[in-house]
Amino acid sequence: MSSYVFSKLCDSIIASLDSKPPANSNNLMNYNPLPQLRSNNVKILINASPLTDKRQFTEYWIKLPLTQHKLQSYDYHTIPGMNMTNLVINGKVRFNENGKNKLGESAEINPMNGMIGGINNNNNNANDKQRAIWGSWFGFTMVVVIDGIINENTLNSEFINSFNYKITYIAGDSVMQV
Amino acid sequence: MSYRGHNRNRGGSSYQGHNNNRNNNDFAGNSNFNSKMSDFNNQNKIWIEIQGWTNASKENLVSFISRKTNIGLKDVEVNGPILRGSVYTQKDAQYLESFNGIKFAGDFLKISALKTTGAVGTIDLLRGFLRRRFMPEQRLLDLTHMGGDQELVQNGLFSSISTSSKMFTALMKLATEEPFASGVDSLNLSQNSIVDGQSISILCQTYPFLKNLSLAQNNIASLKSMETFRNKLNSLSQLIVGGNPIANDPAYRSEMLRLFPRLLVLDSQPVRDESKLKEIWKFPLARAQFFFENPQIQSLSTDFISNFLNCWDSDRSLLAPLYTPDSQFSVSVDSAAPFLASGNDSYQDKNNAPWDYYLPISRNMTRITSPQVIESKVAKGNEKILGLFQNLPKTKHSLATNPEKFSSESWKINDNSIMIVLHGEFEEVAAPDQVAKSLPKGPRKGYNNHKNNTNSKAALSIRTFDRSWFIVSSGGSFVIASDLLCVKPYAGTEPWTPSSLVDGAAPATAGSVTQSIPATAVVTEASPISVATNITIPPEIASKLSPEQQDLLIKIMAQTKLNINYAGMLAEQSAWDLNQAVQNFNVSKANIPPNAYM
Repeated sequence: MSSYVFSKLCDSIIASLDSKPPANSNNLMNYNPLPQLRSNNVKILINASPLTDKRQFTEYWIKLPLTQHKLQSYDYHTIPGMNMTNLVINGKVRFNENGKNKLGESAEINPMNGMIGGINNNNNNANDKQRAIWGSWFGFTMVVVIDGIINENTLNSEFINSFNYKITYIAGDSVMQV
Repeated sequence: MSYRGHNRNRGGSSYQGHNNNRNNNDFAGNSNFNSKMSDFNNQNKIWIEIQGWTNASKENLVSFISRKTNIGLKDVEVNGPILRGSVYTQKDAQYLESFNGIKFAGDFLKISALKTTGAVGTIDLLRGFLRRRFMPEQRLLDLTHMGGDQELVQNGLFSSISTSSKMFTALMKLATEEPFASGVDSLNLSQNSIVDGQSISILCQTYPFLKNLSLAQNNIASLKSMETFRNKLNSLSQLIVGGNPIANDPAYRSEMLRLFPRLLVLDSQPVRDESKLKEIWKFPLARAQFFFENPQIQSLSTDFISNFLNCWDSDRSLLAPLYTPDSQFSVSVDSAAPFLASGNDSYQDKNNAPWDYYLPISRNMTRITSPQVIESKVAKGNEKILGLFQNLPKTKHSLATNPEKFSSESWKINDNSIMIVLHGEFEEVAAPDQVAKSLPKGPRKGYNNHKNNTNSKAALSIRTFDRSWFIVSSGGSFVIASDLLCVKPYAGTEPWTPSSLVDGAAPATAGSVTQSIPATAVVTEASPISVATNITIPPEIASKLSPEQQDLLIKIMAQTKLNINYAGMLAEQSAWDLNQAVQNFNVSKANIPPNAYM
């Protein structure tokens, strides 16, 4: 497998983690933040806390504010005879601090009816309406184990067997807490 | 620092250069401050009067004074036979006065300083004012209607709006030096004729963790001027702006919510729900220091890590048997990773250390594109791997003594392989045995921020790293199939501290996410802290403690670095509860004497 494929894969992982859920959808079916995760038999860790499966990862990820990841380093080894690859991605990430998660939920109290969720409560697309307020950069490391041979045309197939996402630097002045 | 002296204008580039450096270091992030201070000092300049000079021109006299005394008179004006000019310090004034009677243009000069209240008096006045207005019980600094303070007004400190804005800057700077600086949760600035946000923005530097702020009954008319506060007061939960023109702006409420991300109450009206807010601003699951998929993996990986690092720090050739001819090892450098620079000079210095030893061997593939170079940077087989080990500086990992500086995850990949990941820090203690040569310019691109000279003796530093080992079992023992090391600038230990210890609260719950944690044995009880430390309790103390208490004492010592006596006192005061002990420790940290530590 050429290094070009892995460069594309890193870009694709980061782009999908940073993607917005589609507008006006109230179920998670249409949101697929890391399509490469295997549906079954996958190990997922975020900051050393385990998640059971891909669906739970999606539920977790949608509860975070929108992110912006920046790739700064990656390196990989394909294990001979095993068709497996150990890929390590390093970089920085910041969070949209506009007070909404990717579901459009906020803690705002609507002054008209006293309901929590703010004026745009029913609008999943609320993130589009407000400009992003990017917080300070955090550091991250992802350790990704790829099962099988990948090529440019199969970059969205389910081949990630382990995904270990770790915040490795905490920006002290960010509102976001890890 | 001295409040005067920055503005002395004696010429001489070396003196000025020195001052400039001081200015840069004095108050990071506030380039404006010194110019504000100089405005402030203008209020306190000392006037000098000179007579007996009328045989020559005003310019000649000023230039003569400058040559003789090295002091440049400012604000020079002539009133009949008297020339008036100003200086900034009492010292300069006295020095000038010592030239009284000097001969100039055939006459004798009469030099005298005019009496003023003086800058020292002003600073004392402001300090006294701050102390009068601080209410320790309420943790409130009440600066309501400063213009009405008799003492300040009598001394002419709040004669005009513009003076008061400069005065406020000076006041906030003085406030940072007050012993109660960290004891202020609430600041009341109502009724001060404040006209915009910028003029009071310095308060964000003095009180970055402010919880309550009142700007009531001022004259702030521009919402835009409040932009200066955006995400600067991230702990602010209550704000009062009523009685200002901006409070009538249709966008007022939404703008205040945007500028203050943790604001809960605006003008006494709840604007956000506190528990929902906590949920929004937090990762859905609490962070943990360790994850081991099951007890076997825990025991294997903790043994592996401590043995591996011991050999790594002492004699890397001892690691050869762990690698096979098919094993791979490479190092990548992420020199631009965010790093710890929270005003801690020692870390800042460390992060200025160059990457000379690492860059020639770094396989950071965002920086190299040539397939040949990429291929050449991975070491395959024991011999090449040991060779590459020799290109890395000699190190010290303090895993045994400071396990809290490390974090690790291990899990099963398939029936015969596991992944072990370690995050943490190491100290470089000596240059590599073999210094790798720099690549010719070209394939490497964009290493920024850090000095990159070609000196073969680079400074040693402390680094943060992530390392992942892909371990395969082979005939009863195991080998390392893949070993990836990423080295970064020092980023601190905060990410490894379990958030339950930081918050003093139970791990965050997040609905379905936590309820459905896999049923596989997630080992959190037997934290490897006690496995990895070599803290021992002397038998005479151990005999008085139950095994649980001994275990707890070790954990407290590992977490707090307190020596056994203080750790014992802390344990007793905390009813032998680890969380309580850590909380108590954090609360009283500032009062713990240095000899309390190991």
